[in-house]
Amino acid sequence: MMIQQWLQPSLTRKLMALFFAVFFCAVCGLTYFSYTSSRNAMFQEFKIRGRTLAKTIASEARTHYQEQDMEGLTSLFQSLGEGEDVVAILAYRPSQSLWMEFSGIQLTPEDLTLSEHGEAWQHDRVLHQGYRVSEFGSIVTDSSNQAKSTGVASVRQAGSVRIFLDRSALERRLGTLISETLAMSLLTLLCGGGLFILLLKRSLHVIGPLTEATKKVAEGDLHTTVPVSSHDELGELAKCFNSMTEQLLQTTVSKNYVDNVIRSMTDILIVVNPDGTIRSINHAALNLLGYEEQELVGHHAAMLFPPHENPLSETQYQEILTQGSIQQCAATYLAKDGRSFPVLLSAAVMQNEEGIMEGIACVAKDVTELKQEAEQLRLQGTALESAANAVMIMDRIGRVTWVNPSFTALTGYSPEEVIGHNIRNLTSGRQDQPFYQKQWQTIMSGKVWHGESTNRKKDDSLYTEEETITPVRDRNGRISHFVSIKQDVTKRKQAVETMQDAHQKLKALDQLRSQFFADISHELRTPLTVIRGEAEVTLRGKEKPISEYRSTLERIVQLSSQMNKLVGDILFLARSESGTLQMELKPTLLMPLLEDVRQETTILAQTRSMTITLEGSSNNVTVQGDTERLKQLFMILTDNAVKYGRKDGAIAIRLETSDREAQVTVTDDGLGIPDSDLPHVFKRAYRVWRGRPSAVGGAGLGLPIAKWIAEAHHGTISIASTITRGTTVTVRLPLPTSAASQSGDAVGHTVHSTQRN
Amino acid sequence: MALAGAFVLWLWTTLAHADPIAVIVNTHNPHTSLSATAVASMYRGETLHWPGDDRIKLVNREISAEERKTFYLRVLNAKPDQVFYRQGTPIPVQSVIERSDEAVVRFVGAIEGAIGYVNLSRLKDINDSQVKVILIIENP
Repeated sequence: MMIQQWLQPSLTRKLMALFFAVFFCAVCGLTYFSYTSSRNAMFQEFKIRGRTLAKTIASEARTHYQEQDMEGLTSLFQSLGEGEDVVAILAYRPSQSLWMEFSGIQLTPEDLTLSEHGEAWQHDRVLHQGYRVSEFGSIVTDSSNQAKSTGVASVRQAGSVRIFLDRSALERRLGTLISETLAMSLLTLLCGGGLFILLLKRSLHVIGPLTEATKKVAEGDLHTTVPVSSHDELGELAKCFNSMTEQLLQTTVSKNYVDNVIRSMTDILIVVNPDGTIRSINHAALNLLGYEEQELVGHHAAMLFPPHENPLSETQYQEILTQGSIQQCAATYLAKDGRSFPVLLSAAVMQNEEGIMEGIACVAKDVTELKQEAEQLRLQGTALESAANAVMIMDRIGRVTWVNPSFTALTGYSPEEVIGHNIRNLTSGRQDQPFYQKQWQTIMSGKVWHGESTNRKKDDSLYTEEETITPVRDRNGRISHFVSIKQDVTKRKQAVETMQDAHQKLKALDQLRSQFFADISHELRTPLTVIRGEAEVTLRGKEKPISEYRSTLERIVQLSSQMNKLVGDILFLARSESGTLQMELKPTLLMPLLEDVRQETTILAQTRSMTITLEGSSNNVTVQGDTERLKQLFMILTDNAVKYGRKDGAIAIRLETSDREAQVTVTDDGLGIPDSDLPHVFKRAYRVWRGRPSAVGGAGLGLPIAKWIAEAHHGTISIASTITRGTTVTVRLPLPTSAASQSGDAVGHTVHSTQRN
Repeated sequence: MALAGAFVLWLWTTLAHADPIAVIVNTHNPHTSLSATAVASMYRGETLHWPGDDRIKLVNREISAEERKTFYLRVLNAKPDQVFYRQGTPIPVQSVIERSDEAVVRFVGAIEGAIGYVNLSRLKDINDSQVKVILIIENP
């Protein structure tokens, strides 16, 4: 494992390991070869030396044997046995008994026993003392005449010599040889290995950077160069690599770049194989669809679409193949949990260099939000379009960019007429310059402006609008648009004005009423006080004459009737105002009625010696009216004339007719009414000259009642007066048309009074 | 008891009265006497030649011999099986091994450059005129 791990990553190491294996085997083999050959040589030499030595000793010793020359033999042994490894030399007689022992070590009798019989022999043995020796032996031939005579064939043995050569020296030398050989081998290994590593590194050192660079290129970093330091094949390789990366950089888009593009794509990217199975899918798609990558890759793409909406169905598929791509077709993706996404799908056929289809790349954009937003916008747009209020959108220099139909309805300008124009052209100029400046400052400072202004419609009529202008900020917080919402408040304004008028009137009326009640209560209390006073004064003290009681009672009766009249008037007015007073309108002859009035007035006027005259152009003037009320009306007029007329004066009642109406005038020659009071005389409880004596009396109710009655008869009443000359009151009553008079004769009808002032 | 006492007495006399060793050379040898040191240097392989360039031929007894034991102990200050090497070389000092005093005397008497050692009393018994004693090693 360790070796594998160590070997795996580096080519250099592999080469080194290979080299070392081969080199080591070679060196070992060589070592072994040289060692064995050396050893063999050494053995051979050893043996040859031993044999030669034995033979030499045997041949040299021949003469010494013949002559039994021990000294010569000893010298021979001494000279020949001076080799370092000669342990002992033994000479034997023919009877194989020891003749001479020449040795440096102790030899036991067993060692000394000669058992060999050949001409020459050799073998290794271990002596009893532990010495490891090689024994070389040779017989000593007799070269005397005796031998010659017996012939060549029979060689006479003169004796034998044995030499013990020390093997330990040989073995030491062998050991030395081994260690030397091993040392040399090791040295060779080290030197050769070192040299090889050096050379290998020198020639392969480009591989390291090249590997690093290749890794970088594989990771997408194409800005990588490898230093070119040699001119061999590897240098060539580095050069080629550099030019390859340059070309890659120049001509192709970086894979890393494409990967990043795909990774950062928020759209769905699915690559489909020609057979319809999914080849790869990007992260955004997995996120959106909720699948894991292994759940999709290799499966058919149809699982991503609803069954009837597969854009990669047969027909579509053929279309894609023929056209090469489809653009922006709406499709639906089916997520894992069953939800479906509306998407815009674009697909393109990927072809390799030979033009064979490799797959289809489908890019789809999730348009759920877009659709929702569009729907939202459509709703909001519709809401704005259908809003009752006029909505206008302006840009930041006041140019109109959009208006809704209500705006057209309000101003009369169609959208085409205003869009693109400045809003200032639509202002009426009714407001002063500071108004617009303030408005502009408010909205430009980002605040909402709310106010009313009067503008001009297209048809030049003016209208009042209530306007709210809201500034709209863009993403940078800068004001980009203004939204103006307008409401026509012209009618409301008019209504308010009307109401204010009515309020004023009501207030005045209320004041009048208060005044009236104050006056009336005064009018009522005065006679009551007088009545109580008269009664108390009369009852106090002693008895008085009957005449005094009588006169007191008469005054009380007078005052009571005066009060009765007053209360009656008030009731009449109250009824008339509450609408409960009923009048029966029927044809009434005016002259007899006026005659009655004249007579009654005459009675009243006796005390003041006034004359009353009645003049009439025609006796049969008939009006539709209530006899009682009409009489009351004229009685009020004549009564006033009596009251305010000059003593001994004359009162004239005159009846005139025209085409449509009858006119009754009551004229006196009395005090008259000042011009300033004339407009007020028909108001209730209005008294001219309040300081007049109470004898003249009156609560100021007569003329209002008269006016009410006249108007209840669809008539009018007017007064003209000249101070100190007298007053003329004119009553005009409509004459019935012929048709009306005919029908009116038969059926009377009731007029419900309406409340008037 | 008496027997044991007699044995001890014999043993003591045997050991105490061991015979001296005589170092002998050929009568033709010019030397008349040698120091023990000179003899030792010969047997140790330090001296190889007699004056006059004649090789010294050493004669030894077998290791088990009493004479060799005494000689090695007294002269060479070594055990009888000690192997000496020629000075400065790994060549062992070799000698002619004779297995009796008579053989030693005969060898030394026959060969001029030889030197050997024998029991002095045995030498007297043999009485060979071809050898002469140049050193006597007392054996206490």
